[in-house]
Amino acid sequence: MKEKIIKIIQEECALDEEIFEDTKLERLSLDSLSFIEAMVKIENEFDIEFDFEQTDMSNWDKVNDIIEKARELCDEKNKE
Amino acid sequence: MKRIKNKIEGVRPFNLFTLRSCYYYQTVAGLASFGIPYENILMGYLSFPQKNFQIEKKSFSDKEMGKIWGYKSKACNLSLRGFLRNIDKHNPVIAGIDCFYVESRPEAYRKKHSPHWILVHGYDLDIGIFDVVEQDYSNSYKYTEKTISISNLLYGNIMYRRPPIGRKKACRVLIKKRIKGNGIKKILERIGRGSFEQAQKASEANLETLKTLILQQNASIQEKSPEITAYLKEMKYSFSIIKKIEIFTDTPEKAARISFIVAAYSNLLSVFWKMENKKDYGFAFRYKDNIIKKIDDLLIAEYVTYNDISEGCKCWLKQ
Repeated sequence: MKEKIIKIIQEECALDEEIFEDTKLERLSLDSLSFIEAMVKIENEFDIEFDFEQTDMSNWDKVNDIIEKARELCDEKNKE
Repeated sequence: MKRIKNKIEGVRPFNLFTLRSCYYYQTVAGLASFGIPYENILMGYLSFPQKNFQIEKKSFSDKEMGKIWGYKSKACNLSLRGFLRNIDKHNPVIAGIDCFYVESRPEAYRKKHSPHWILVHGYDLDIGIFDVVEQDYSNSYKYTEKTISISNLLYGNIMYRRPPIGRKKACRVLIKKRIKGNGIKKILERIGRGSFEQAQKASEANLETLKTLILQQNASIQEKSPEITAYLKEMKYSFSIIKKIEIFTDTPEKAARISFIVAAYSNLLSVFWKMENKKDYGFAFRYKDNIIKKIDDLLIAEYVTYNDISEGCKCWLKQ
């Protein structure tokens, strides 16, 4: 999951970026709209849904925060 | 002895948020060297909400802003000598380039023709470089000081005038003039104090309509989505500008309230971008309780803020 999410974010960056789990989103060549596109791809990939506040890039800090949240949403979905 | 190195002091890259275009970023950065604070220039780019998610932009032309703040932006074409002469006179030069030919734009270099503006404010002929203010890549918020080879910039500048870009004048030289009168007062007189009161009423109506659309969960939200998205984007940018203007944020409470408004519009904008991207217009309805609460908080914050701004204008216009 981690690798897929990192790859999706890399694809949306304007420049070639080396991304790690602890990479801060604000340091990436990623604008608000590209971020939404990345989040939508992540949602489609794992069949999950981020809530409305999580659509906004300013509410996230690091790449790992997205990975952890995606993992949590997947676990919740699997329990249902 | 001929000077072979020079740099204009006081140029400040402006990189706080997305403005209208790179040209305005470079103007703001260059005018800092004349001692003109960026807040003064930003006041010329406010947008005012109108009913039915429309926006009125009370923008000022280069010429008007120049008269108010004491500068001139002269359109011309320059040779190397022209660049050097202007920098020696402390006139920053905003140079148009075709990014296809300029190495400092990796996302466009040898890939696509893309017009762009770079601020040139220094040179070193020994090593053959210009000092410039430039962003890292398209749509980046980060403008920084960099260097670029003289030959490469001049080439990109010449190609700016050739097809497919094909512009007639490839440079804008910023020249300092005398300022007459109080610039802030002139801007506010032109905007009109009543504009802020009308804006508050229009914004309130729009936000109430938005709540209704979200709760109705029918085709209307999809039909109006492009219009609403454009509106939310302008409101976010406009309040981002207001956040930077000192006369509107002279207390920590006012500043915090405006920060909240910017964040709220950013969030709502993200929601609509997502719905359009996924073609899932039920998303807002699924999170309606939180979104409606956010809009209600926004209504209160805007009511107080527009009132503060209106009172602030009253004081300024009396001076």
